[in-house]
Amino acid sequence: METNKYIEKLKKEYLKLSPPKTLVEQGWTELEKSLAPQEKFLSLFVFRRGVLFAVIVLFLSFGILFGSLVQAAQGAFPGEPLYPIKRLSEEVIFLTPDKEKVERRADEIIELTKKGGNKDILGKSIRGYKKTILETKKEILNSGKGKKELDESLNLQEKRFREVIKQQSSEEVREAIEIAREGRNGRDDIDGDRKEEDKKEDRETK
Amino acid sequence: MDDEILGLVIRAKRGDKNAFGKLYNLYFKKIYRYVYYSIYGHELSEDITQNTFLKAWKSLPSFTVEKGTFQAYIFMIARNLVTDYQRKRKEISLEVIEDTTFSEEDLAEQISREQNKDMVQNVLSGLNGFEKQIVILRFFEELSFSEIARVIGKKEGALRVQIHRILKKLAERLKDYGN
Repeated sequence: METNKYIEKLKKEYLKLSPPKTLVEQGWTELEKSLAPQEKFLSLFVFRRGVLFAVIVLFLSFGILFGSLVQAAQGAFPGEPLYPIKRLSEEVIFLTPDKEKVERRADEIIELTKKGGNKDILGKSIRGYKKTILETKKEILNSGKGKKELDESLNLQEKRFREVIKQQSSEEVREAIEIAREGRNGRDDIDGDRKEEDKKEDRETK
Repeated sequence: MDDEILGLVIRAKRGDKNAFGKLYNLYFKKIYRYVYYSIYGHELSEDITQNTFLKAWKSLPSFTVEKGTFQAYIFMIARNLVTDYQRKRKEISLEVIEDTTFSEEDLAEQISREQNKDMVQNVLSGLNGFEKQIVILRFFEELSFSEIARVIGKKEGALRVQIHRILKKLAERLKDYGN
């Protein structure tokens, strides 16, 4: 009990100490001048770790979801909802026009024909196929490499188109055959002269 | 933490200097006293007090209520600055680093200040640096055990035992002083 009395007395003396007048009267005024503005944006994340964590999880989730979506889109065909994502992802995957892009367009034409696809969509696919071949040939011209691979690929595509024609007649596929041939032969239009055997084949299949 | 103080802290965290000014006015005397009785120098105490609040403002964005009260936060900063200073100067227990820059102050006020200071200084001089801090924080500034634990950086349980021991030692010092 006596100790408490002594402590109280000591505390009283301790509390009597006051800062110098300069600090009392001007302390805050002087200090305020030195205070830099708070970094508000950073404080949101530093103060709320939960927010930072949530943002990271959100980005990761979005990344995983987007990745899955892109993956699923690779099997999409013209007219399907994920097809635009497939075409968009190709812009990233294939930095320059590539024979693989041409092969993808050819695959799409074949699949659409087998499924009995809408004529408008098939028509768009044919135009896309031609455009891709032209872009790829231009790239080959600039780089000076890849012509042989493209020609081999176009040859294979032509054969596949002919297989499809045997099973079902299709004007669009016939057009695709012409485009593939012209692409191999170095011509950019499909209205050029056709070889005799092809004209004969057309007559037979009709 | 008091609701009013919490409100001021939240506003200050958002960059409200006026709110921080109010916090300054609430705590600067406490900090000054604490620093003064740790290092015994008016000018230095003034500098360290101002630096305490400057640092507090700068690192306020990282302060959270989960870490403790604002009082504990500000005292912790002050303690760290005092420790840094002492490390540089090497703590001298009784030798006072006096300065006489009171030119603007009233003489009577100076004398009164010195008299009060002597008694406290003499009693505290028998304690080591850590014990002195505990006495100031617990018995004079009345910080809670959890606040002191935060300031000192020790566990509350261990601190309670130490405070009990320091109280005994203080009691002996006070008896000696009384006699």
